[in-house]
Amino acid sequence: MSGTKGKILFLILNFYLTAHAQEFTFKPSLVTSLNIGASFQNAGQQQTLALTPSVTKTYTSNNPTSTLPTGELFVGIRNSLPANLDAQLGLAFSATGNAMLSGNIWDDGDPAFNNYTYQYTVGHIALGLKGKITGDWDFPIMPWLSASIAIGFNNACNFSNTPTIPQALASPNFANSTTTTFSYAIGAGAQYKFNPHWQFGVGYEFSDWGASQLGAVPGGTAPGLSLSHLFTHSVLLNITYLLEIF
Amino acid sequence: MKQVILFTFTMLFVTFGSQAGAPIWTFVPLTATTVSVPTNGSATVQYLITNQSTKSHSLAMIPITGVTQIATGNGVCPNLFTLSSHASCVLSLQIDGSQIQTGNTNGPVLCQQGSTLECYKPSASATLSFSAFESQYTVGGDISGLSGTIVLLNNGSDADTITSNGSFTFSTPIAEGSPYNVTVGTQPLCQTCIVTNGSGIVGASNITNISVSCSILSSLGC
Repeated sequence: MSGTKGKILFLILNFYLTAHAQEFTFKPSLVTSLNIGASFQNAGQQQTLALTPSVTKTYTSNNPTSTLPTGELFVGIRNSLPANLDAQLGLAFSATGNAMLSGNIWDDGDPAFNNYTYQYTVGHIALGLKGKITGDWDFPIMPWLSASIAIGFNNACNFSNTPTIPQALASPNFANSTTTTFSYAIGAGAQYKFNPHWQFGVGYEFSDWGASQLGAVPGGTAPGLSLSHLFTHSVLLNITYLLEIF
Repeated sequence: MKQVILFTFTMLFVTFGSQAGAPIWTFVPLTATTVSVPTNGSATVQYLITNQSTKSHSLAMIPITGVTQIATGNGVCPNLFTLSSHASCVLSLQIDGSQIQTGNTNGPVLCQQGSTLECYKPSASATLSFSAFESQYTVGGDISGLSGTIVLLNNGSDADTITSNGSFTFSTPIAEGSPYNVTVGTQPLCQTCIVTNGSGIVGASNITNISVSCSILSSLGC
């Protein structure tokens, strides 16, 4: 987020709190939410790696689109805010299926020697802090916005390469590797209040899984393929349970 | 308009054509690459190796049982060798018939030195393939005193019908290391023949010292 946008957001928040400071009461309730849905990604980027001082290969990306099952469990507290807003803050644990990445390998980093295809997968789990603001304006449908930051664990694994010409021999594969990284997500959607305890909703979420990297090949001197970001777009259904504690 | 369409198709062909792969170093056979080698002999197979890259490459061959790389000679690739861009050398391989196993070697494979991260081999039609066969030798000797027709047998078969004195040789050779046993299948009329040095193991040469000596029977009716 740029500095200008941050300042605007801060001013809006400051204005909101100043205007409604007298109306705020702290009366939290417990909230648990289960999100399930599908994520879509088409990550990939061309990289040239010196696997050893004398072996250089370029890995292109086919940017294949993967559809992945995804789920999230959220546990937190909810409190009413002035101006008919409703806030939720808590811990979110999320996990998704493996994103498939694939492409071609150019020996010597030269497209004339486009002699292999490759593929591998990246799996993602994350544990972090999530906030959600819901507008409750006496409509059956309540819009919401959400944002989360998390520690993500990206497991890059199952790399394989296949020669595309009979004269080439398959190379040793990159090792599996898990990268601990910063990830975030922002989302928007709508809730339907079924009764005071149960809500159902649907939403869209954009997330950045953060970085991932494969391990070195046997005999290699450099780490494997990496991604600095892996962006996903998700459509999620949620079921939420609210429990008054005061 | 036709020129535009032709140009477009040409560019598409060039674009997709450039995506096709090619080996970094190529193997062009200079001799037959499918060879039969006697178990006590050897054969030589040669390939012209060319580095097709713009970079230089230092190569080494993955060892093959029974195959020795000949590393000396004009233009011959040493055991470890470096080829600059588009340079060539002759990969010369000596095949030891006593060491090899019949079949396709799926090679030879040359790799960038120090790892197996970049390895290439000949095309399927030029892959080194060999078969070993056992050395075989003939069995024979001399016959004397014969005045009729005698039938000699080797190991109970390979009948050799002889009607005159002098040297004889069985038509079927025997593999080195296998036994031979020469006997008289049918004695000549009114003669008896005795075989000397008739059995043994075939060595690394033809058997020529078998002696058959015939003598006249002095009995009634002859």
